[in-house]
Amino acid sequence: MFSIENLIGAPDIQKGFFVMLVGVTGVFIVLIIFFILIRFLGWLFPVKNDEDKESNS
Amino acid sequence: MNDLFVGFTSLNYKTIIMFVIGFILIYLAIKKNYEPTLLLPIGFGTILVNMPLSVVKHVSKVFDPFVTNIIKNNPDSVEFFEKLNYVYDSATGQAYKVEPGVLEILLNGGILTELFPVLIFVAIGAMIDFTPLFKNPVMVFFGAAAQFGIFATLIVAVLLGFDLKTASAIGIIGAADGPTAIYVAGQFARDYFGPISVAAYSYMSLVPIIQPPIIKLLTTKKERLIRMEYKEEKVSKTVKILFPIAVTIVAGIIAPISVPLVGFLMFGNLIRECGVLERLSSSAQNELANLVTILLGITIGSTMEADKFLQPQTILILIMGLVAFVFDTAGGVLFAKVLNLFLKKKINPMIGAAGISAFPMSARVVHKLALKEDPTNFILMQSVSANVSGQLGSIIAGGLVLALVPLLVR
Repeated sequence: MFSIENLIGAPDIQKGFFVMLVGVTGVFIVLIIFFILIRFLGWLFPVKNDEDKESNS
Repeated sequence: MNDLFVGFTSLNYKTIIMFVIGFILIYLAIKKNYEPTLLLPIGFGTILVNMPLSVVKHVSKVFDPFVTNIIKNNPDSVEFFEKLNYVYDSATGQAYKVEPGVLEILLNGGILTELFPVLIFVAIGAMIDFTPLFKNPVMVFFGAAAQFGIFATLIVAVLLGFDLKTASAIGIIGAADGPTAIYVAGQFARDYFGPISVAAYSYMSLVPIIQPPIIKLLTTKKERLIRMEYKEEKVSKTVKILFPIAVTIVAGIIAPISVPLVGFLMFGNLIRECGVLERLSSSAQNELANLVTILLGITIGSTMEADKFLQPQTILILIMGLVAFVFDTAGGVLFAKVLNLFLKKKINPMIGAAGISAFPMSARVVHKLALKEDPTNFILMQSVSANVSGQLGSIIAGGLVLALVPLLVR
């Protein structure tokens, strides 16, 4: 099975591709979580009427 | 007699070259307005640190016979004594106790401890308005796609012979996020601190020159003319307050090492959004930002000593920084083009280029390009949303690099 331990003695280029793969995927996953978070918070705390008026004025 | 003219006798061609580099940075800051808040202090710091005897870096150097003897009997102890402010001259076999000067104190206390970058994050957090992202949250994906350049540059840097840690710090230049670049360089590549910082800030100011040709190269005129519908979603104040807290918790759980980056940025943002700390928010955006920027800039300059800076690697790092910006822009644009293969309502692929962290320059560049193609096509709001998400994406990418690389290099 794949483990990070196997990569420790590997050449830097192999490690680099690992960082690239996990890094790009990781950034997407975290930002997808933020997207869900924004949607969820927006659903949980919708704009109140008085806030709406305030932002329009 | 020689001691009287020590200033003249200590001058050499390397010192002169560093004076010229310092002068060029000051010139770019004043005449060309390239990130003047940082390039000017860096330029002046470069001149200061390369002055004869470098008194601003080391106040005095006193021969220590006791430590010299210990090192003579045990050569492996050199590294230990270097941490205690000793310098060992291998040519003469003598050890000297060095008293740090003001710039060395600032470097040790402000940058190597990560204090200055973290304080800058508080200031930036207080300046960022995430509202455009809340109003158009789909744009968050462009903030992720445009981080591709960081990792692609990392690979190129490894292929050029840099070790993984240094290559990661070089790749982070592509985040277009100065404090993140400084933070990662402070952890992974202290020997290349100067060139990485200078590259990060110089290229950020060159976004209006670097991005347009890449965008034009990767898109057709038809694509650049795509109009995008803008549906503005309303955002409540509670969401704005809860967002920085929730982001800190999520990022802290996924990559605990990123907490100093994300946490302090979000702390600054919470001060801004809470609505009851106007004075603190204003202080963070102005006094704190200005004070730390002055100290940060001049301290970065102090790392640009001739012997460390005038190496072939410096030129490679400066080139790699440019490569990182190119890859980032291309990553964002190509991601939008791939999305268009599946979407009914097409996205203007230029928006992808705004996913880098250089705010608001990148959004403006994309908006201007769109207007140039069609003076009635307004994509500013979408670009700003992507640009704000790029600010989030860059610190997340920085945090992930900080978390991943030490696992592989033990």
